[in-house]
Amino acid sequence: MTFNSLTFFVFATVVFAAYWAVRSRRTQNMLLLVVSYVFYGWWDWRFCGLIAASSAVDFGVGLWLSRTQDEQPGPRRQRHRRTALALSIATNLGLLGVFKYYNFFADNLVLGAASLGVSLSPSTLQLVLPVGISFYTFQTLGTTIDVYRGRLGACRSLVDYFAYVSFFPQLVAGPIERGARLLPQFQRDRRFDAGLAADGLCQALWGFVQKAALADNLATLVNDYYIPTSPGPVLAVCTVAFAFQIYWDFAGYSNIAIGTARLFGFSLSRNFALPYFSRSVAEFWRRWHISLSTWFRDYVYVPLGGNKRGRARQAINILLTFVISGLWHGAAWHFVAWGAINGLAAMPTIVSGRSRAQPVDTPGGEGSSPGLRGALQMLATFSIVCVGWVFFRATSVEAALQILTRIVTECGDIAAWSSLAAHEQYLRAIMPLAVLGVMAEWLQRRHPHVLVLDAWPRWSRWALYTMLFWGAMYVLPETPPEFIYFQF
Amino acid sequence: MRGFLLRALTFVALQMLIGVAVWFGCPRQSDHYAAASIDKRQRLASAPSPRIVFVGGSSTSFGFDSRVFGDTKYTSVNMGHNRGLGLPFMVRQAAAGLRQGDLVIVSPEYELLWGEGSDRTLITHIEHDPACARYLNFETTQRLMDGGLIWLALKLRCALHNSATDPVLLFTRSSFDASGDFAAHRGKPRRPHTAALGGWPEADALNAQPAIAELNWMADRCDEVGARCVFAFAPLREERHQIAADSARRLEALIRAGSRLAVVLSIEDSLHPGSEFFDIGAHLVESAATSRTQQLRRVLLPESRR
Repeated sequence: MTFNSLTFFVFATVVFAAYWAVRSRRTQNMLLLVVSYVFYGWWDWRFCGLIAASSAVDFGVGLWLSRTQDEQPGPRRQRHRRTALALSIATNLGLLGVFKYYNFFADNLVLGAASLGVSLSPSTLQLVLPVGISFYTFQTLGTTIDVYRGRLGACRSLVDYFAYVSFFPQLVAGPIERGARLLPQFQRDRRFDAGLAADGLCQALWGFVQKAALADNLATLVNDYYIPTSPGPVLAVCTVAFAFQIYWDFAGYSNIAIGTARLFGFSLSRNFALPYFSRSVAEFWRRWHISLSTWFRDYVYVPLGGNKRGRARQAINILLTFVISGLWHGAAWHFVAWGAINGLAAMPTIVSGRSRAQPVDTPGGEGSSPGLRGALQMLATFSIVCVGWVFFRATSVEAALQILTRIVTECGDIAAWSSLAAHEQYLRAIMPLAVLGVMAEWLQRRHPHVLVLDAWPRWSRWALYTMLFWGAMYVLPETPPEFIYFQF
Repeated sequence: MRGFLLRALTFVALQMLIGVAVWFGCPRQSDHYAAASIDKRQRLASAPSPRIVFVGGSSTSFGFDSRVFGDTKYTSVNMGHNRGLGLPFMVRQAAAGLRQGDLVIVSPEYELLWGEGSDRTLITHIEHDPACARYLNFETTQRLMDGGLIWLALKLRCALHNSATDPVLLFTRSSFDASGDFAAHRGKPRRPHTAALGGWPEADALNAQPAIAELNWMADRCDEVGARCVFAFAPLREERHQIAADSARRLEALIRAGSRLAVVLSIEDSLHPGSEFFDIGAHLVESAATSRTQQLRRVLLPESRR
């Protein structure tokens, strides 16, 4: 049941009615828990066992940690607490390890041993990667670490905790929420807020437009022609198309998630803040998949030492964090390369301390235009990010290098650009849509989403919403691809 | 809350009004090929016992000639309609009307032995024959609901451009004869075409387990009602077989080993030269269908010589 499906429309409507029909918070949480498991089991009911296991372990570990908090400080207490934390880490990373990384490490072990002349034949696993496993394991793990660090009290209600982990709007692809932010929302009474709900619907509609009208149509070109044998100019266009496809796909998903959560009185964190208007790669990473970037900052970069042990060590920490982030996206070397490229590109700004000095509230600055310098900085940032996307989208490092080589060597040849003629009709149709999408985001960049139009009279807002919905339906591809981040 | 609900419902009502306009703005064909589903279901319900029931896609409606059984005690019901309906739908539709003493030949297209049907075909059929939705299994229902917006999108494009949602309208509801055999092509010249020769998976990659499970589900239903159910491989072009011989061998081995339906026509029995196909599909010309059915009759009813 994906967000852009008829099933989800019906599901969310029914759950909304049932949710506000009951008054007590406990019943609401129980309802959210049940429907979230139905939502998740819609893919495969067996997946529910995994999320229940992850939730149960972290709920138990949280309780244990809070109990030991009251014990006398000493090595025994510390040992108990570390053991409990290790259990949570082993469970969550173990689940990820088995379902996501086992074959990757087994294959590379074989290759590594073969290079030493040793023949190994470990068995590979034919496992389906459960949807959302990378997201909810990180959410529960983060929560347990916060309890361990004493920054968050353990949740004592099983229903509240399980509902928090499985909350359906953000279950399968985030935003990866922090316990300190989302858990208290499950623990307090929620009152219906018409303004919040209406704004949530608008945000979800914009997310739907991003996914259905923009991302899915860009995908038709990317999926068919982003292969190393395509001509360089086609690959260059595909790279830019993919950059916008993945952005609108994932930002669209996040907007629907955040908007849907608002209908139920929950506030989720912003996950995308117009990243392509960034003026440095470091800024880009403060605007792209914010919930994951901050997770890695708080639970990987800072524990590694952050910027506290000198610039050289900070540089290594940045690179390591980005490489691990790459590996989180997929068990393959091209994802590792993608992480490393971004780490290297972000490093100078972060190490020099300039990243903190740059304003980030309004992307592109406060003026109506970014100015020549700002525009060039944005273009340069976008270009670097696109080099990273080549590795992200390719099937291997070799394929990515072939694509980059073709782009560099063939794009200088004017005649080679005639290869785009075969796609002229498609480009004529998609480019105005994409330009409109970017312009709308630029004009509304001071707001959390594009459809914040409080000053407009109601009739004109409704006309716009109607036009957007039916416009998106009109251009919806016949076989829309799944959300890209579902594969992670 | 009340104000919000009022505004939200008004907005939804407005969208539904547009939706209704879109729905009726799309031209509807009364003689649509998918509507033959109603006729086939009615024939299965009303044909006197014992019946010989053919189950499959369009290759079944083209590939069997019911007249061959005209002098036997069996009344023929050809349920063959559209490959896109998928094997789960086909067997459920047939199983719903089975009776004791029926002789059932299940002959799905090869693609359905390792793959699924087409959501678009299913939705088109449900639109023209809503009652047939009861033959969907849970997984297919899930898939169709998940893809429901696409149908709305197709309807919208159809309404705006005044075009049909199904651009391939080569066949119509009235193309079938009283037994359900496809008859509109009889006596007509073959449609020139280039046969598509690809499309078979590698032998090692063949997974027929879901299809075998469906065939065994059908075998159970047949046992329950006291019908005799068998399996016949669909017609296959010789040139395609040459390319995919390994896969074909493996597929037949998998079906024979896994399915509880006896195989009465092997792949070897079902090979035909390209000249015996009417068009690009696995659609036999009339004479080839007749000889194939005679061959089937010799296997199934060896005592009743014609």
